[in-house]
Amino acid sequence: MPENNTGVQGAQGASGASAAPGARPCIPTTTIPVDFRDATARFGDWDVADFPVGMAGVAGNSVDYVTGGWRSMRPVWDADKCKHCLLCWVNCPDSSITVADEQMTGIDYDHCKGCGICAVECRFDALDMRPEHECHDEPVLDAAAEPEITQGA
Amino acid sequence: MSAELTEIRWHARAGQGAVTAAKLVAEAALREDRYFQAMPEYGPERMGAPLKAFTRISDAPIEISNNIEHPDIVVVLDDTLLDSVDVTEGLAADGAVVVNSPSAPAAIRAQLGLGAGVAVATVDASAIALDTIKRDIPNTPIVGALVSVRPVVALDSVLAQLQATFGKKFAREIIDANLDSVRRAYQEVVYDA
Amino acid sequence: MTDTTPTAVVGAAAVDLSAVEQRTIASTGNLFVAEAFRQIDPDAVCAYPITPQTTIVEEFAKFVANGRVHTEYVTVESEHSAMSATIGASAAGGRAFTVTSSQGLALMWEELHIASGLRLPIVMINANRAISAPINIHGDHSDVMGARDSGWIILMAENAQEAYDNTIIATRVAEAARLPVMPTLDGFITTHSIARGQVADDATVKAFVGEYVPDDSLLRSTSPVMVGAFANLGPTYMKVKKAERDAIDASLPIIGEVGAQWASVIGRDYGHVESYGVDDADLVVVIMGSAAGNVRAVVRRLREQGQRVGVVKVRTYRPFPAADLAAAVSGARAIAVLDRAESFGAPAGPLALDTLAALYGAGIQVPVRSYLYGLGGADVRLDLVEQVYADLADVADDGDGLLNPTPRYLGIR
Repeated sequence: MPENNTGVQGAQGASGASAAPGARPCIPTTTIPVDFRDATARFGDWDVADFPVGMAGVAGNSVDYVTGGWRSMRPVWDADKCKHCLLCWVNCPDSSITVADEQMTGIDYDHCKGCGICAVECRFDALDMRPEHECHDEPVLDAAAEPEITQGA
Repeated sequence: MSAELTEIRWHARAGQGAVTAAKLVAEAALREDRYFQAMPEYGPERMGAPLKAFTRISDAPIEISNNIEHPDIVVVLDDTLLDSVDVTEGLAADGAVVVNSPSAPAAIRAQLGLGAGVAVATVDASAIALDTIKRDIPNTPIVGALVSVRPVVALDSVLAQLQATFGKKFAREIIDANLDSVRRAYQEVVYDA
Repeated sequence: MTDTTPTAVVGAAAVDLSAVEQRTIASTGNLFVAEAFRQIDPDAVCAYPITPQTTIVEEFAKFVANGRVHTEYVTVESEHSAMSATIGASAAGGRAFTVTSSQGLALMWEELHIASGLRLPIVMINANRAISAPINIHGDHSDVMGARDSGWIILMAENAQEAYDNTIIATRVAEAARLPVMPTLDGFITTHSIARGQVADDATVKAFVGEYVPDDSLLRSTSPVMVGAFANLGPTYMKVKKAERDAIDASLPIIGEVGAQWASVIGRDYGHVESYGVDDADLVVVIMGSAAGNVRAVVRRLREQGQRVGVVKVRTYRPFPAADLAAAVSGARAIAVLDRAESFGAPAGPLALDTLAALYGAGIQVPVRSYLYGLGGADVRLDLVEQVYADLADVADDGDGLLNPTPRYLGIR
C-alpha cells in the first residue's frame, strides 16, 4: 500500500495565496512504479498462447499503479482549516482523500487526478487547487514523457 | 406426387380452427407411424380473415418443404370463401373437395365449375358443431368428413388423437361432444365422386 | 503436457446408454428447440421476442412459470439488452442462452463480437429470417450471414430434428471450445411447420450436457477475475484475436467429437457436410438449411432417370469445413452453390465464396455457378432445382467460364 501523502503542512502556507516562488510542497515518495510503458512492454513479450482466454485475467487494481501522473492541477490541503466533515472524501471520484478514524489525513497523490471536485465541495477553504508544476522540483514522469513547463518571468 | 404422399390444402377464416385441424390430421398420422408436415400460411392476422393451411401425409419421411401447388384434397371450412377465393386452384384432376356447407355436392360442383374426375363432398359441419359442441367451430367435424371421403388417416386414429389431446384439459362431456362431432360428420358427409 | 486432442478437450459424455429413451412427437421446429432448452435447463435466459422465434421464448417462459426449469428468466427491453444480459450472465459463470432473429440479431451485432472476444460459451438460437428493407418476416439466411465473421460457431439445421439435436450439441461445443455457438433453423419453414421428430428423455439430455464449470468467472469469490480488458495500440489486440482464430479453427474437430458422442447416444449421425449421390456425380449442388431437402428430392428423381447428380448439405457453417467440402465435391465436373442470402457487391453469394476458397485451397478447378434462391421465404419449387441441374449440365459440357460474373437469381424474372 502506498504511504499516505500529505499536502502542505499547516504552517507552510495559507490556502488561496500562491506559495512563494521556491516554496514547493514536497513530492511524496511512492513505492508504485510508473506503469504505462512497462505494462505494454510486458504484454509485447507474451506469446499468443500466454494470454488468458478472452483476456479474462487476474483482476487488475489501480491501487498498484500511479494513475495520477497526468494531473495538471493538484489540491493542496490546509489541515488547520479542515473540519473533517469528509465532504471531499464523499465526492472524490478517485478515492484519493485519505481518512483514518473518521479524520482526514491527507491526499493520495498517486491516484488524485486533479479534478478539483474536493476543492469545490469544501466549505472551509481547506483545499486549494494549484498548478501541478508549481508543486514539485522535478516531474513525476521522466523528462521524455512530460514536456518541461517553463515559468513565466 | 408419389403414390404414398397426400397433399391437403385447407381454406378457412381465422378463428375457425383450421390450423388445429391440420395439426389433428398430422398427429393422427403419427399414431399410424407415418410421416407428416403441417403448416399455416402466415399472413396479416385478424379474426375472420381468409387463411390457408397445408398438410402433407406420407408413408415415407418428408424432406421437401416447398409450397403445395397441386393438392390432392382441398378442405373448405367456410363456404362464404367460395366466392372470394379460388379454392380449387391447382387441384389434382382426380382430387377431392370437402366443403362445410348445407348444400348438396352437385350445387357446389356447379358453383366451382369442377370436372367429373374431382370428387365433391359436403357436410354441414357448422350445424353438427353447434349441435354437439354448442359452438360454430367446424374444425373437428370437418376432419371426420375428410377421412370419410379420403381415408388419409383412419377414423379411429383421429378419435384416439382427439381423446389424447383433449383428455388432459377438458371435461368428459366436452371430449365426448368433440368425438361425437367427428363421428357424425363421418356418417353424414355426402359426396359424389 | 495438457492433452489437447478433441476427445480430451470435450471429455466423455456421462450418459447411461442402457437407459436412453426417445419419444417420437409431432411438433413445430420452435417447440422442439424449446423442449431442448427445457431439458438442458440453463442458468439464465435473457430474451426478447421477434417473429419467427417468438414461440420458443413464449413456450420457455411457460416452463419457467410452471416451475419446470430452474432458469433465471429475464425479459429485457430489446435484443441489444438480451445479448448484454446474456454476456453478463455467462461472464458471471452461468450457462446462459438466448434466442433471436433478423432485425434482433442485427441489433445485437456489436455484442456478438464482444461475446466471442470474451470467449463466452453462450448458445443463441437464430430463426433465420430476411433482413429489412423491405420488411419481410419469412425465412432466408441474410441475418445469419451478417454474423458470419463475428467469431461465433454457426450450425445450420435442415429440419426440426436437426434443430433439436444441434441445440444439445451446441451446449457442449460452446463450453469445450470456449466460443459462443449459434444453432439456426429456417424461419416459418422449420420454425412453424409441424414435423415428426424424436426427443430424448430428460435424464439423458441432462447427463449429456453435464454441469458447466467455468475456469474463470466473475462470481468466483476466492480469486477475482477481470472480464472486458482494454488492449490498445500495440500487438496485444492482434495476439488475442489470433488466439480466437486458433480457437475457432480448433473447434471443428470439437464439433465433430461432440456430434459423434450425441450420435452414439441417439443414433443420428452428425456431419459437418452431409452428401447424397456425390460418389459418382458429375453435377453437384451445395446448399444449407431446409431447401437441402428439396434438392435431395430432385436428386432422387433425376438419379432414377439415370442422371449423375448429387447434393452436399453444409451443416457446420462456421468454422467452415473446407476440407470436408472439397472432398465431397472432388469428383464433380460442375458445381452450383445455392445461397439464401446475398453478399452484395461480392463476386458470388456468401456460401459460394466460402466454397470457392475451399476449392481453390484444395486445388480443385471446376466451373462453379453462384445462385441466389428463396429470399424472403420465396418458394423453392422443385422445378427451379431441376433447372439448376440442367444449367450445370450445360456448364459442364460447354464451359463458359469458371464462375458467373454475378449471382443468378432463381425463380424471378
